[in-house]
Amino acid sequence: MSVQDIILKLQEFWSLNGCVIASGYDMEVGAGTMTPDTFFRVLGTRPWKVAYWQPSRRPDDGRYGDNPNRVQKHNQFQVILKPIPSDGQSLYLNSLYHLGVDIRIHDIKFDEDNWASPSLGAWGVGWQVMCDGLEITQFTYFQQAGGVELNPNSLEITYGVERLASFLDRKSNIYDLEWGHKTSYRDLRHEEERQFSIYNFEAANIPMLRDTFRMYHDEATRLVENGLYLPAYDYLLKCSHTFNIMDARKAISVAERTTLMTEMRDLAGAIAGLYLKRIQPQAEPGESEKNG
Amino acid sequence: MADFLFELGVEEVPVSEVPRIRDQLAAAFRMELENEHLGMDTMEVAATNRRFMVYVTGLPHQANDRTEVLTGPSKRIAYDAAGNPAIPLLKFLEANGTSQDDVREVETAKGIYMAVERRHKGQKTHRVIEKAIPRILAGLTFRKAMVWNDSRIPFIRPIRNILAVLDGELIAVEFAGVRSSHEIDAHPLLAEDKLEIHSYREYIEKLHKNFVIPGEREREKIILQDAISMAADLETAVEIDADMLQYYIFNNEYPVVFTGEFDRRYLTLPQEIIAEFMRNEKKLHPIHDGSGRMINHFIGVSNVPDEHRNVAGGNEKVIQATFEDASFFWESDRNEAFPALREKLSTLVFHEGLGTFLDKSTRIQTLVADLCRLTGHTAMTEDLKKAAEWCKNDLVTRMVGEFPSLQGIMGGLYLRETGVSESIWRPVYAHYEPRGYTPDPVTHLGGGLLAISDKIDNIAAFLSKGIRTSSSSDPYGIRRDANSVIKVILDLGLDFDLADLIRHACSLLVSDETERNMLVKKVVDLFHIRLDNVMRENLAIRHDVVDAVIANANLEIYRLHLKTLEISEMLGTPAIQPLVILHKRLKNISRSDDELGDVIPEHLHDQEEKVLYDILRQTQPTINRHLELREFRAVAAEILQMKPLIDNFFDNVLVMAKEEDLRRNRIALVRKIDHILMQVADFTRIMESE
Repeated sequence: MSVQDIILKLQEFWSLNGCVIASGYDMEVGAGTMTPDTFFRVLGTRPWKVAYWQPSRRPDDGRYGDNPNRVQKHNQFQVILKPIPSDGQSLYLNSLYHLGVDIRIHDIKFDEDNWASPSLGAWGVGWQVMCDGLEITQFTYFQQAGGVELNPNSLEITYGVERLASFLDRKSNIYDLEWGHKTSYRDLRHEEERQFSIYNFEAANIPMLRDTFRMYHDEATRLVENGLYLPAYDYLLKCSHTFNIMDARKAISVAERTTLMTEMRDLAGAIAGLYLKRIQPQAEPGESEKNG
Repeated sequence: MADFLFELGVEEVPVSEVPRIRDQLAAAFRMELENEHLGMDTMEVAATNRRFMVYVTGLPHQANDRTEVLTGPSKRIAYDAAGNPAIPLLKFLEANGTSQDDVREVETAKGIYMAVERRHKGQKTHRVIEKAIPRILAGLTFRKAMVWNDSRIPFIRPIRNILAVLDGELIAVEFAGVRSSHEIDAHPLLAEDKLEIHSYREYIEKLHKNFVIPGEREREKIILQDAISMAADLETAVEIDADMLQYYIFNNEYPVVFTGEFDRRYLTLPQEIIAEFMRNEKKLHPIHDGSGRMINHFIGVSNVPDEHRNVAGGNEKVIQATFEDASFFWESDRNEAFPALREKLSTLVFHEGLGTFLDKSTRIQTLVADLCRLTGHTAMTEDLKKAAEWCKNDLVTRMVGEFPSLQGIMGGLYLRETGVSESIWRPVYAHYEPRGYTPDPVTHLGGGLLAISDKIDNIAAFLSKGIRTSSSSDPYGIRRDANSVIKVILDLGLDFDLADLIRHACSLLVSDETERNMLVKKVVDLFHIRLDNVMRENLAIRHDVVDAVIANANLEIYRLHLKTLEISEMLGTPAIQPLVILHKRLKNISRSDDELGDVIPEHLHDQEEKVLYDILRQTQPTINRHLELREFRAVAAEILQMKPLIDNFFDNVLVMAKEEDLRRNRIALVRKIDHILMQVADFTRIMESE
């Protein structure tokens, strides 16, 4: 099954199961969790079911296109179910079945893997789903986001699209995957991996990145003061990606890391607080006061 | 007689938590039943990561009625002079809601006491269990809990079902929004429907039919047998280590062993790396050939049958990719000169306010040199100082950045690649071990000395920043590190006073004298508590023996342990009781005056004290030699030999003489004997045979 077929099948499955099929965000994010459709919508009490395909960037994972499994940009398929359904695991197994996986002959295991994003003030409890030893999905019960305790909680299912494709296509090299219609992953992405690895590990201008981190941070802070939490969040995402490039270059000391992380977490908390105030100004004063 | 079957079905519980939760459940059920005086024949427990079963047989349907006697105040104070009830008795009656008419006298070992009787109606078993289940489930503790539904009740993972059947009848309970029912889950992948259960027999049968092997030992047997036969096919043997076996047993309801193969060229990676990636990353088990060398095969355990080798093939691909990654790190890290990485440590903060890892490695250098001196291993000083200098360099390598559990090991391997001698790289390799008071013995002396130096610095540093541990949390691993230090000292037989090293470690961290002394005390106190705990829990030494030895407040850990062993041996002999009595007699006197002076021979007056003093003086060299040779039992024996003379002294000489110089001298003499015994133990703390 080609990569694009997997994405289409997953969209189909989750649409049939009541999800809004949204687009991924048009900015650099490290994971589908950082997309506003997850970050904001898991807050507050309103039910929300969404699925979207989100390209995700992790500069540190780049391997110049030489490694058969690691890339600095991979594709996630993200599902949020809020509140948590009682049959989340079976739903998930059904989605694998929909992709053509015969679950009776593959060793599918839910291995403990708790998730935390310090820069988003978020954490959850759950598993990495292993299929014949390959991690294909993160399955997480969100407990907190933007520093706010969640009630109701959300279930997040994040499929690693390339991992699923490697598994379904029985390919041991990611670049040999078929994206669709005879176009290979290599055709589509190899040069991008090569160039961005060089950029991330060698060519990135660190002083410039440090300056822009500061500018993005200040802009986000200013926007928070103006109550514009959505643009503020965009600038927080820019901070996060800039941070990740500097980190890939090992240009961030441990002490500095703590400082920058705290700055981002504080912004995330403030932004979450503004959002909650906006969507439920009187309904739940207790919850919106937790942050501000 | 009735039997009771309970199953808690949960979504996949982290394997490391499964035995703990199972044991908590068993203990809680046992306690709840005992509290209501419900006897039982047997209790069986079994767990996987998806279900916890408790099965009890031989339960009565109802507890017997019983009478409880509540003892109140003694008769002496229960009534006033006029024979009317006094306040203690009135309070007692009020507290128990009874009147004076119900009071009667009971004879106890301490005399006559006032008591009342209370009648308890035996509760129905059904009712007892019904009330107990929610309480038991709410009382379970986990490393990390979560909430998932409107109940907002934290639990380790979402609960799927509660089965509670007493003699075929469902006990209706509700916990965390889940109601009990006859329905349970079968194998998550191989079975299609839920199972309906009314009895234990049905439970076991239906589970077996639906691909769940409920018995832990049964699954263990399958895994071990299959592993052996598969290794035999490869013409080798495999011994699954305990941790991995435990993991496989609880992580697979229907265990199926498979083997796989990987490209031989990855065998050029250090074996430690291969093993680490297999075990910790992929939960696969390496296989060695007859000569102990790793071969390019592995075994793993699947939760489904693998006739078409889907599982084996998938795992082969995955491990191959992991080795590809490992090779990338191994190659790229070795492009840099390892010793030079030390400079980069200056930007790596160890902890807020405690400097960088460069500072830390410098402190470890100083401490390890001192430790060599203290333990008499001065020949190793130069090598260990080198090792300390480089021991944290691997923190800035890519391999450790990606796989922190390889810290230390990688440092050692990268150093080995640079061609330094084993006496330098091996200590670096080993210095994170042991992680707590673990079962495997510590055997490498250099690694042990470096480990102690590193861990003492950790402990002193974190305590200096006011970081605490509590019974449930030890985020900085302070307790674990202290246990490791004790383990190294005992395993390697390091005969020195740890307090000396602690003082040195604290002086490197805190300059103000008062503050420093407080820190030293904190660290020493911590070690006393850990030592006490390790001796009781890990070494199974009787608690009164531990008390008797640790009461002597130094931190010569190795000697303290020898003493506990020797005293434990004495417990079964006739020597111990006279010693305890003798020491109590000595303590009674020597406690009465705080000033300690030497015995002044001219002030010895009576014959008995002169004789005792002389013999003591003559024996002193022998005693000193025994202490030197750590023959603590012999020291005690020497004193015991003097017992007739000591008794004679006590019986015939008035220690508390009116004349001050006589009195002081006699107390000093008693003190002297007490002091010798105290160098072995405080025998007054030994209980009569338990």
